Amino acid sequence: MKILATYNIKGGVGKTAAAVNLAYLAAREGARTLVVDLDPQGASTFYFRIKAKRKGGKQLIQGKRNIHAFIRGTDYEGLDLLRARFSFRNMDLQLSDFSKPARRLARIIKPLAKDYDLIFLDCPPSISLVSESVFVAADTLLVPTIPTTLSVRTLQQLGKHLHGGGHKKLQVRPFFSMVDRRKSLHRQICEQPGTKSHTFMEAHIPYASVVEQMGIRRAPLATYARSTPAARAFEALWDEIKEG
Amino acid sequence: MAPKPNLPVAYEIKSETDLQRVLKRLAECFPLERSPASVQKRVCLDTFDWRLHEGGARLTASTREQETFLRLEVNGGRIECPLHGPALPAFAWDLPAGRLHDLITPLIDVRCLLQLAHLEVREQALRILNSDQKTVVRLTVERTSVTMPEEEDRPLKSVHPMLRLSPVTGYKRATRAVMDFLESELKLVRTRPDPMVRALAAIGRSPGDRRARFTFELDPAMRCDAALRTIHRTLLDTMRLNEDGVRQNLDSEFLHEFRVAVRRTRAALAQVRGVYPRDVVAHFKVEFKWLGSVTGPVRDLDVYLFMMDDYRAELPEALGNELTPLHKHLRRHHRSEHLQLARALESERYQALLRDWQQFLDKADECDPECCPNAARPLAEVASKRIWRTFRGVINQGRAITAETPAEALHRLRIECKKLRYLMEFFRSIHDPKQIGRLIRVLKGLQVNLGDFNDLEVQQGSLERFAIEMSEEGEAPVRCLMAMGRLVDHLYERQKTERTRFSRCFTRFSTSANEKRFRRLFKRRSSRL
Ligand SMILES: Nc1ncnc2c1ncn2[C@@H]1O[C@H](COP(=O)(O)OP(=O)(O)OP(=O)(O)O)[C@@H](O)[C@H]1O
Ligand SMILES: [Mg+2]
Repeated sequence: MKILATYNIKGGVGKTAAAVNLAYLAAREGARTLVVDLDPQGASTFYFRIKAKRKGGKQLIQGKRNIHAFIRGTDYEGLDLLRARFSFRNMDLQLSDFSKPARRLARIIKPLAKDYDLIFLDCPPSISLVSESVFVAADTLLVPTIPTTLSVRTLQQLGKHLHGGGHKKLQVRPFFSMVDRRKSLHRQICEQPGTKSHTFMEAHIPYASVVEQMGIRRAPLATYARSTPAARAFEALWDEIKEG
Repeated sequence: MAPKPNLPVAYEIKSETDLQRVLKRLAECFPLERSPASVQKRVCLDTFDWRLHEGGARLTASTREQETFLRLEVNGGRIECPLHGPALPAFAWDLPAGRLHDLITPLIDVRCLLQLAHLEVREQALRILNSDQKTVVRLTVERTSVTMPEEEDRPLKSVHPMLRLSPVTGYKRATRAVMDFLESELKLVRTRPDPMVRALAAIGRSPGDRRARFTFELDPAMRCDAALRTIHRTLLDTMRLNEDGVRQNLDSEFLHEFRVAVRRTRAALAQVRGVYPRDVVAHFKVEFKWLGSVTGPVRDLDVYLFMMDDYRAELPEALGNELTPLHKHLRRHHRSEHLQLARALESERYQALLRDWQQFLDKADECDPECCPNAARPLAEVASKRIWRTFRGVINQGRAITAETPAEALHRLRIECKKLRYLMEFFRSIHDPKQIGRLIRVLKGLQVNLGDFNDLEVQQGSLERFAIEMSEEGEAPVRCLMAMGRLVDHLYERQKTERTRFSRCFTRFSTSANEKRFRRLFKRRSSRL
């Protein structure tokens, strides 16, 4: 089982869009895939037309209920979702009850190894105990980054934080997201990101209204706009991720 | 504890009218969304002996938008994976890396994936939705038609439509409701959710049908000639079924099964005497012997090609790697021998053999008791007598063998055991299955020892022959020849060990308890003469 997390300190950069679309592509290829919606706002849960629940976050963290009871099948074969709970907003607090709080999440997920080939963690933004837990649990951190100077700086900060925090085994793979080719700054930064500590992936996700439409369609991009450049971009991104 | 996998359930529907009624009722009672139907041509793939089927899996290939996909259905789940070109995979190592590859490999091992049938599947996905338009139960209507591979231009045979229900994790209540509706309201009956088997049944294929069948359903009281014809007809069918695979060289198993059928045909001709007219026996004995000999070289090479890994493993690593020229040699000869074999199968002699043989077997008239004294006698009598005699022969020959006896005697005994084995298998169905099964097992123990002893000797001879051929063809590096020499030594040592084991194996076979069992089963009957 491989665990991929879409993460950025910043909000609204395309983490959820990436988690949902990449997970869909993985499942379509036959990988048994699970999306874990760690965000109390439940955006990926919403995209899969599943209702986020209010309560239950505590039971999940404390292991009081079988983790499978939190999982729902999506509309797509081989793709399941661990749906969000509004009470995930208190996850920091619940995790801190454990003696090694940052390892807790990894332990909860571990029994799923025999049921899934891939797990995508869709993370809320900011740095917290939840994100620390994600750094411990994940094998790969996919970091959608908007091509602006500030975003690249935020990425460097993240790099420093991870380095200092001893997450050396964690593979960090930034990629440009919401790229607007009409903006010269975007083009420029995509060409020369201006950071030596990170290599960006080749594939970019363009800024496209079909991606925004996911909120109305409540479905992965490939199901309603398969041949659009944005959908192709997610495919290219997925191919690159698989290559390692 | 993990929950049980959501296994799909399937319902067979008797006709198109019934299907329309079911769909109408479903739409009245549930929020149902229908996707447009899609027609897909699918090729069913499995090994010669249906290993995937036996492992609970089914593999199909289909093409859409110019891309070829493999689909594996196993444990109620479905895995799809695109291929990198239009060519279908033949062996496990041709499969693209991934879960599909990892699941299939242990099931098929070194066997070749063959095209069992071409299906045309009209599939319509139906989804039962909740108030968020979220799928809570998946249904699929499958209408399947089928043709044999290479007969795609023949009209398709259609199979009853099927409604398949696949639960969605976490929506148990909805699943239960739909199942109750289908079963209680619409009175649908569950069927195996395996349309491939049903589709293949429509073209007369069934699991394991390519295997030479060793069970012949016979009746102890039936006439001997009728029984022998039944046996021969079954074996001829097996030859016919495998012929094409032999010709195309798809998987070595085809040739193996083909040869087993030929060998058994010959054994039945030679061992059950006085049943067919003498001139018939004489003619077909010669012809089937010819067929055995023209198919031999390819089989031998198949076996040695399989052995290459073992051979390498038997030598120190550095030396094992020196065997590559031998491997190449075998492959090259395999190609040319196979060409010859294919030519033999095209020949008039072969065509005539099968045609005449079929004609003789289908002739309804009974064999004349004048020239065929055993033809009209009840099967049980003749069979038991033959078996008992052969058993006595094995015992007497075996007892005469000591540590000093030349190897020839062991070979003769091996052949005698083989005859006994064939006879017991031919007439298995007229005896108590438990008793005869047990006797066959004991005999097998002895046969393994004799067989290994013989194989090891044959292998030594073959390796020496290959070495000479390779030198003559100027492709024999010294280190390769050295490695082969070492191998011959190993084989010789192992053969000596088998030899020392013989007396123990024979004693186990010739115990008085075992003899009594043979006597009880076969002797009493024949003494009733
Ligand atoms: N490539 C894109 N082009 C256009 N709009 C996009 C693109 N990717 C995401 N969006 C839109 O931007 C918004 C934020 O995207 P998304 O939810 O994927 O980001 P996020 O990083 O997960 O946000 P949050 O931090 O709130 O979880 C959404 O409305 C989404 O539809
Ligand atoms: Mg999000």
